[in-house]
Amino acid sequence: MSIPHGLLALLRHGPMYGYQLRAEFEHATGSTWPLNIGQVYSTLTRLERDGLIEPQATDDEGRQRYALTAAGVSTLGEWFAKPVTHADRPRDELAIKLALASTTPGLDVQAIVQTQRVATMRRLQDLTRLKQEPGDVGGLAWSLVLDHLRFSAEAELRWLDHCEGALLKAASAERTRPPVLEDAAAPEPTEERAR
Amino acid sequence: MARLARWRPALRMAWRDLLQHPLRTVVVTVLVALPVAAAVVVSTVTATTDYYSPNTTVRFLGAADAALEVTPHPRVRVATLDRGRYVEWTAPRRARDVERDATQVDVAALLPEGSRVTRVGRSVVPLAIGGRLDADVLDLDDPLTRGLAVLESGRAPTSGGEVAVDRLLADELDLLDGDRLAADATLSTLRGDLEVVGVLEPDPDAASEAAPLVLPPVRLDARPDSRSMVRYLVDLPELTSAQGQALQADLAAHGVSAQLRDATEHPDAWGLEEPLPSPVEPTAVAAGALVIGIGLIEVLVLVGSAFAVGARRQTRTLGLVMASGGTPADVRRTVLAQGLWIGVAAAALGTGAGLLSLLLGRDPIASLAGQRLSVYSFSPGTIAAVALLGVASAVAAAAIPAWGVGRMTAAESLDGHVATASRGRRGGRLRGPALALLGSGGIGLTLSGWWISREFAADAATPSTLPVAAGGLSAVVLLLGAILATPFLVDLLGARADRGWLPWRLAVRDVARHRGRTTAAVLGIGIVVTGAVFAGFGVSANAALQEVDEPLVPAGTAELYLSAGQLRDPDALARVRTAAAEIVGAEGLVVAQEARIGRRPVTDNRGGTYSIVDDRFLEVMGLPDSARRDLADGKALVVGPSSLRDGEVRAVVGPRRDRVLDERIPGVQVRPGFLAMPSSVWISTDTADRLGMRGVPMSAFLHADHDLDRESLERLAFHGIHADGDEPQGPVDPRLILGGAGGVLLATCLVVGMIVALSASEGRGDTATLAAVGAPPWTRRATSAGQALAVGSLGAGLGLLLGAAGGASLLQLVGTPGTPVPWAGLAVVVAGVPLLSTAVGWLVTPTRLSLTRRTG
Amino acid sequence: MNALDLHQVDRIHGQGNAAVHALRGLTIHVAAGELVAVMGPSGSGKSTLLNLAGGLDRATAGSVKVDGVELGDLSPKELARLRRHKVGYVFQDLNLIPALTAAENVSLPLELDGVRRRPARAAAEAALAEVGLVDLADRLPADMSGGQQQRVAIARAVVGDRSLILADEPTGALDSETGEQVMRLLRDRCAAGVATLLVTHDAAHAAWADRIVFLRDGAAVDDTGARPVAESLLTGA
Repeated sequence: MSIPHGLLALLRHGPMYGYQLRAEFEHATGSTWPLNIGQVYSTLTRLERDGLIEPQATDDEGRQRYALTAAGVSTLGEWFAKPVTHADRPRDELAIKLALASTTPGLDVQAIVQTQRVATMRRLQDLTRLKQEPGDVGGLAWSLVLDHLRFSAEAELRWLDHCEGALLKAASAERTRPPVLEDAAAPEPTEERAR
Repeated sequence: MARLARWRPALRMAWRDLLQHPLRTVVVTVLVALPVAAAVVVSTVTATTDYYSPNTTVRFLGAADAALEVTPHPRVRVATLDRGRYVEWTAPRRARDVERDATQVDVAALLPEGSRVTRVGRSVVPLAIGGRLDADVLDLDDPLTRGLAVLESGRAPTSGGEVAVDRLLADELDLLDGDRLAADATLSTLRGDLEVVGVLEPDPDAASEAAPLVLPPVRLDARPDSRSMVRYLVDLPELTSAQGQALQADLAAHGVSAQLRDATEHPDAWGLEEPLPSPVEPTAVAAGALVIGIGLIEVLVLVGSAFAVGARRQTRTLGLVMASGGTPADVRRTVLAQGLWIGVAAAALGTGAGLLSLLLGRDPIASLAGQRLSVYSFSPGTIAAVALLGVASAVAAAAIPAWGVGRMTAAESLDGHVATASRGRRGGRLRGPALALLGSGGIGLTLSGWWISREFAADAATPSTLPVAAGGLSAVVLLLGAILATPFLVDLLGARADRGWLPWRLAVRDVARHRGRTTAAVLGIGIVVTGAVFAGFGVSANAALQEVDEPLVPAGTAELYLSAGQLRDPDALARVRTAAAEIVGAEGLVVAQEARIGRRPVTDNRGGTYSIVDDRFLEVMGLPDSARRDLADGKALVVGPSSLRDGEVRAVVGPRRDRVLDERIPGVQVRPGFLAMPSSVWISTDTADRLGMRGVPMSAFLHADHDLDRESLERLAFHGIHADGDEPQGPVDPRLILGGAGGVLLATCLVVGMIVALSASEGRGDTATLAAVGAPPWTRRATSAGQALAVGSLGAGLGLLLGAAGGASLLQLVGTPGTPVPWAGLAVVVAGVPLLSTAVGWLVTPTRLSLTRRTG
Repeated sequence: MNALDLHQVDRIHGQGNAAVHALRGLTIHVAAGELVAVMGPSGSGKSTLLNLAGGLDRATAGSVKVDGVELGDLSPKELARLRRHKVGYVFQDLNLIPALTAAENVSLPLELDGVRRRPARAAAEAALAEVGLVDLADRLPADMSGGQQQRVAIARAVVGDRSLILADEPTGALDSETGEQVMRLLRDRCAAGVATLLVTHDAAHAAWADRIVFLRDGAAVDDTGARPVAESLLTGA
């Protein structure tokens, strides 16, 4: 998550000081990525060191404002132009988890899938509820972020369905193969049940 | 009220759905309306031609209020009979001997003020050519005579030298120039020429007494004859029935017999008895019931299948109705509502069409009915009943699919299930009963046929109708069995469709899959064909009948009806002979004379009379030479029931107390084998002379070297020479045969067209698949043609079997042993119906192979 | 009292070896004002569930109650009456009878009940107003878009104050925008006190529900349950 680029984008609007930047950032992302003021200042220092921003004169209340340099503007432009690649994204823990679970003997992978499904579904419910609520929590930028989360949750659920299907097919293929010498341990009883 | 409210959505949906499928709606409505129209026409014509209808009154009263006959007696007693249609007068004893000149009676003075009379009468016109024609004496310009004769063109004869002539007679005598009278048309009579000034419309009634000529009343003045009838038509002022009866009594007291129209209109006020109900002919009733039954079944089958398809295509809608809280009854109502709308529309259309054709088609209907139709007798009750029957039949036709659709579960209909042969398993248990019905029906028909032929063999007294009833019942059983067995036939057909041309295979599989629809179509065609085949048997039986009856006269002869005067006048006979030779190529005529002594006829004391005949007569009658020799030897030829006793026959004249002659003559029995023989005993002239008898010409026969058929005799009749030959009593009017054949073809086309259209509409998905797969456009046509061929062949086969079975057995009652088979007709059916079906199937296919969305 | 209660419901088609268990021991409750979604692969019994809930089909075992009334005790006529008064169906498509206008489609349950023309029409217009389509009252389905048809179907499912909507993939044939409209509408109805049981494939639309039940092979395998909204979503991945 690119905090420096986010701050640069905010400074595009005009010079701001630290607290202002933090407030704007949270507003723009609906508090999904909360920042503490320390993070803001340390990022600002780094940006200044790299020559992307420059301090302005302090105002009457003694607050230090910053503005973009020419280098900062072009860096920002490059950032917007460049697509976000796979390398920039964090690794998806769920995918790794299920991939490993499917090859680990003695696991009821279907139960794992179901548990995740319920959780993701709940998340999707919550996100949808948020979308229904009126209010201008950030306006368009905010709703785009929200939709991204919703669509991701949806995609995750679809992938879970797909995993389930693949697991079932593998299991039936397994059954038709000649039996292996060592047994798999008895699968753990699953506890999640309808409430 | 809530009940009626539940019909509202159903009626509304049905109405809109019918409007959205206009072609199907129109076809079904017409199918139901046709029988309604036919029934309206038939019932009205039957009521109109009934003897006691106002139409019949016109034939003797014209438009007048009363018809008068001035009798030669000063006083008469009058009796009104037959619901006013016949008035009989008798002279009381004292008045009987007094006679007066009827022409001198001033009738107008006897009538109430405001009356008007016109003279009418009857006359005979002796033609120059030798014949005698009857003439009505009427003032055609007088409105009172309207209905007695109808002037087609020209004008009414007014002066003594003018006459109006029947169109057919005018045509025969070459008096017409195209449709108009020729410039100088004249009728040559023995008393001078008459100028033909008008043409009369021929009377469709072949047996009517209407004369072919009309003369003006002045003719009667010219020849006063106290013996002739003096008759008048009268226009009376408004009279009550009581006044009318008083008038009749008053006129009778003056020797005038009066027939009042009021009596026919208010027979109860006149105290007239109910007429005896005319005996109902069982065969006519049976035939009528059969036709009605066939018609109803036809309507139910065809209309029912149309509704069935409509219902199936609406399964989604019906499922929605159920999901919205409709009960199965509501679902059924939706389909029944369609039947209701169509029934009402068809009843209105049929009644309107029937009434319209009665009004516009008066002439053709009159000629078919054999009676002039001047005044229609509409029976509102019957027409209303027929209309209701139309509505009921449409609703009944919708009831069967309605019941079936109501049984589908909601889940099935929401899925868009189309009821196909997958439910066929259930029908398997009907196979046994179907075969049982077929078997028993067939056996029953065979037995009934044999029984009927025994009962109705010639010489039976009054055959009982029991075997006919049994035969009818067996026919119904057979029909039911056929109806039940047809689905299995269809299955059989489908089971063998594994090889062959692709469109044929598709067609047969489709036909077999939709058993219900196919059964309906097969039955629809089958029933029509059954009726046609049955009728064909009837026609050929009728034709065969003519040859078996004992003939009237020998071949090549005809019995002449001449007046006494003509018979005794050698000139008249010569004229007739010449005329007959000219007109029909007759060779001559022979005369038989009645043997008399004085004025008394000679009898054989058993009720038979004697005739004096010559050799020529015997030759014409086709008797062998031995008969001639016997006659020459002085023997008597006994022609009638045998009055021979020990080779002798008695000849007596006069009553027992006053025997003028009582002799025994040697005689011999001969059987000429013809029905129209004069007398019972024939003797030669010599024998007669010897016994002191004289001969009075009594009967004459025309003879020719060829058969004198109906047409020749009719031509003779135009010239006033009336003769009777050996003509079959009534071959079936060829127009009826054509009409019947046309009806069969039309029905076949309609049924096949509908089936093809229905299957096309259901098979749109298959069509789209075919198109997508690259089948050439004619594939669809070929498939439809194949379906039509399968259905048409099954239907024709079924109809052939049923019709032949029914015809062969039931028509035994016509009195012929065995039944002539109408091979030509059967061949036409066997080949024609399937071919016609195929052609219709080919033509009617919708070919636009558009990809339509499955309507669930 | 719940709007809909299914308790240990079985539905078996056919017999013996060919028997198909469409539903096994299914227990579901839908309270008034609640929107419950049912998800599952095809063949899991979702349509059977809806048919049973509205009395279009009968359970082989177990109890089905609508507003506390046991459906197994009702005759077919009474079940039809239930569908006229209490329960409304919405399907994926082809919801409307093509021969009737929108208002007539909506008033169909009332007219089948014997309600007279004018009051039925008034009720239909009121229902159409709630779905925002009063202007289309006299239009035929052929002249309406898919979304409009679905909204009319919803109007029919709620006309005259019903308590339970049974919806079978109501957004299946619609694009996502229109589908959302429909879901919003259903939510509004729930806010007004109607209970809705919704069968769907679409997770995004199912997420509009208060609770999602997962069906597999005729049995409920899980249930998201109602949760307080306060829990922060910021900790989610």
